[in-house]
This record gives sequence, C-alpha cells and structure tokens, in this order.
Amino acid sequence: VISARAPAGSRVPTPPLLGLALVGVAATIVALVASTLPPGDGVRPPAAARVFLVASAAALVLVVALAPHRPGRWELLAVGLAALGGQAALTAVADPFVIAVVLVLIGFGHATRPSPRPFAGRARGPAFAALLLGLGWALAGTPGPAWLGRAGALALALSLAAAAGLLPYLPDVDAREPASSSYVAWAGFFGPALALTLPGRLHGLSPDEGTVFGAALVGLGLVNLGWGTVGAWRTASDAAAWRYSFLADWGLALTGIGLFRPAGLAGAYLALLSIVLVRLPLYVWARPALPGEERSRLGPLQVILIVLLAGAAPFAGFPIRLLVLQAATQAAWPLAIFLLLAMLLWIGHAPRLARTVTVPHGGAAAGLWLTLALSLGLGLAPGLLRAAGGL
Amino acid sequence: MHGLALAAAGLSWLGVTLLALSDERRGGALGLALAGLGLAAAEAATGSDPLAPAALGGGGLVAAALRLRGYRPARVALLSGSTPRLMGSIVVLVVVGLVGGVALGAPGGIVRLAAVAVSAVAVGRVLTTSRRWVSLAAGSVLALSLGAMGGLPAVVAGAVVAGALGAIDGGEAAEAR
Repeated sequence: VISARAPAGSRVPTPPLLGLALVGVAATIVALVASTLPPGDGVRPPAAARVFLVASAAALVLVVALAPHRPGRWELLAVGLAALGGQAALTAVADPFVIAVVLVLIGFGHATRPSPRPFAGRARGPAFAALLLGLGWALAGTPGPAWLGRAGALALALSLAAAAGLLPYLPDVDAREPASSSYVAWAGFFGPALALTLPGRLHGLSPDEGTVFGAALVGLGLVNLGWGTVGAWRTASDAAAWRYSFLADWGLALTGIGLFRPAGLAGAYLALLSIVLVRLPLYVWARPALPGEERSRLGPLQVILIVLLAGAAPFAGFPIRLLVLQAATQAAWPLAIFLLLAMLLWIGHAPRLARTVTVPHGGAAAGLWLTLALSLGLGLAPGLLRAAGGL
Repeated sequence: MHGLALAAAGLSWLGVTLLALSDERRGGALGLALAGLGLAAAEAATGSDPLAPAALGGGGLVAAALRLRGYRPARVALLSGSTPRLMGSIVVLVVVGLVGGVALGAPGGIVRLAAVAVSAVAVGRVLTTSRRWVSLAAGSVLALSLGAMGGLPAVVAGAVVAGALGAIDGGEAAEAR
C-alpha cells in the first residue's frame, strides 16, 4: 500500500507520497507550535531543535528550487516534506523508547526510496540504531550491577553513531545513488536532529552513566574526526571523499556534545546546523560530477569553496572550531592538541572537494552563492543563532 | 501471574525465533503474530492499562495479516543455513537471562527482558537477510518489542509502526521497480 515512490519516470508524487508529505508538514507545524505548550508535555522540542527544523526546511527549499539536475522536483519536495516530518517527530518526542520506534519507521520508510542498493541493506543501520537506543535506555533504567547502566550509556552513544551512519557503522557509498536515498539523508538530515535532542532526553542517567555517555561520544567524535579528515584526503573516490567529510563534521559535533561544556554544546549545535545548511547543499551541487569523477578548473569560486571547506574565517567552520577547542581546553587540554592536529589535516581535503563543484549557471548558480552566504552568516553571526537556540 | 508472564515471554521468544528461521512468508507471518501475542500476554500479566496488551496483540496480528498480502506458497519453509540463526536465538535468550536475571522477579521486568530478547533476535534477522519481506517482518517485531520496553505511549507507537511497516509492499518486485 505504501510504496512511497513514484513509478519510474514520473515527476508527480504518488498519492501515498503526497499523503506522507502532508503528514510531514502537519508534524513539523505541531512540533514548532508545541513550544507554546506548558513545560512537561510529551511533545516539546527544545529551542535548538526548533531552529534546526527551520534550517532544515530552508535547506529543503534551497535544494528543491535551485539544485542542478533535479528531475522529479515535485517528488523530491514531497519526499523532503515527509522527511521533515520525521525529523520533527525525532526532535519533539521526549521518551527514548518512542524515539527508537520512530527511528524504525523512518529507517524502513526511507529504505523504500529507489536506490541501486537493496532495501534490506539500507534498513540495517537505522534498525541497529533503534535497538541500541532501546537496549541502552532499558539497561540504564534496570536495577542491578553498575556495569549494566554503564553498558547502557555506551549503547546510547553508539546508537547516535549508528543512526547517522558514522564509524563504526559506515554504510556503502554509491555515487549513482540520489542524495535523498543515500547515506546523506541520515548523516545530513535525520542524524543531526537526533544528536541535537537525544542527550537532553536522557535525564534518567546517573552521573556515572552520564560520564560514560559523554566519554563515549568524545571517543567516537575523535575517531570520526581523524578518520574523516584523513579519509577525505586520501581516498581514491570523490564520492567517498564527500562521505568522509560528513564524518569529519560529525567528529567535531560529537566531541562538542560529549564534553558537556556550554562552549562545546554551542559548537556542536553550530556544526550540526552547518551540516544541514552548508555541507548537505554543497554535496548536492557536487553530485552531478561525482559518478564521472569530473574535476573543475581552479577558479575564483573554487578558491572561496576551499576557504569555506577548510573551516577558515569568515565561514561557518571557524566559530565551530573555536568553540570546540575552548571546551576541550576547559575539560582536558591534551585533547585540544589532537583537535588542532585534526583541524590542520582538515585543510588537506578542502581543495579536492572544492574541485568537484562545477561552476553552475542560472538558478543553480544562485543556489550555490546562497549556500556560501548561509555559511558566511553562520560564521559571522554565530551569537544570534546561539541565542535563538538557547545556547 | 508471574508464571503466566514467564510463559508469555517464552511465547514471544518462540515467535521471533520462528520468524528468524523461516524462509517462507507464512512462517514469518506466524512468527510475527506469535511474538506480538506473547508480548501482549506478558504485558497483560503485569496488570498494566488494558490498552497496552490490546495494542501489542492487535499490532502484531495486523502486521502479520498485511505481510501475507499477495502470498504464494513456496516449496521450502527452511533453507539450509538456518542453524546459525537458531543458535543465535538461543544465545540471545541465554545471555539476556544471565545478564538481566535480576529483573525476573517482577512481571514488569519480565516484559522488558522479553522485549530486549525479541528485539535483539529481530535485529539479528534484519542484519542478515537480503530479502525485503523478511526485513519488513523483522522490523515490525522490532517496533513492537521496542514499544513493549516503555510505557503506554511507546507501546501504542510501536503497534502503529508495526502495522505501518506491514503496509509497505514486501514483494521483491517492488524493489526492482
């Protein structure tokens, strides 16, 4: 009944997909309006998550309206709205068990999208993430030896990595796969929403379990940061290089969250916003060149993109790096040395990724410049976004 | 009630094991239904809100019935290679019993342990299958068991999601389109 896809070649969404899109719009509106409800209700996303929802909606409009080579634009809009609803559900629900159930629904629903990879393979990551989340929360609340609670906290941290498709749960990459069906939907859309809200939903963790959760996030963050920066630089395929660049962004975000410092949380929040507003659209703009591994000539646009992708001022990456470094020096200064090294290594893959973005024309060019402007806005006015997100 | 909860937990494990072993859609649907009914009976034995067992049982039955849409009988119910899956189910049962044995004293703890065991076996099936309908059936069981770990909102959400996954076309032809 629900195949959530249009017949091949169709550019108009099927009735089930249209219905899912309407449900997605309704869920997003409810999640945004729920902020007016009194505290303590089951459905109430935090301020940061509401800002993230608005940013995701903006990124969706940007990609649907202006991305290059977009056959089936209406279908993409319908899928995007349905996904936005899923994101709203992930951020609004307070009970971790319900979040795990929502993950199952989104995971299997997303796996129905057309893709060169088989359905069963694409459903594995979200299903495993849901298990880890449910198991972790069940263990954390079980009376018994302390190690059970610690194992639960570890499972909760791993569930975040599994949901976003990070190390040690890297999914396959197929350059021919549309962005909406690929790992990008999890690393760049659903995963950040979960990362923004899940730590705040785990009030029941004891201090001991909270420490394990934070330490596991920092560990996962450092591994993904190191693997992402080196992988994006050294891998043979440009499509894989983009995937590793998502990992590097996530590395900073997880480290920031796991440090449990205001500066770290703010850095993570900006990093997750940057993933959905900058990294995701740039990947969509680079996608047409990826299957053929085409490289554009080094022009003015590519130079700007190199500066942006390297995380230099005045773009979004700069305040993120400053905030995460600040949190690391407050928590344990040797950690800052590793972070600094990884940030230096990060520069290595920026030229490579920049050259996969070909110079577009017309609306696509406007979309690309708009993405650069968004990154500039994040870089120049992080305080405004932090205030809006309550961080 | 304690004995009933234990028996129901055993039934749910039996159901998910049947789903893990079955290579034929009818067996998978039966396993799904049994897992849902087992979790529902265990939940009922705890004396919780009557809506919770009704949702779990109903969700399992609806998902199982929907999974049989377009069913054509196959010749083989169990393909070779099912022994590791059986061993996996038994290992999960033993490990969950050893680790969470402390919780077996209370009916609420039994439900949660049963749900953990069922979800672990279901995810094991999702991770090892390449077939769409098997993955979807195991996904329905996973949603039911994750819901059973929590309170009433989680139970209802799990039942709704299990039914929704049942509505997704499980035919391999759907994938090829």
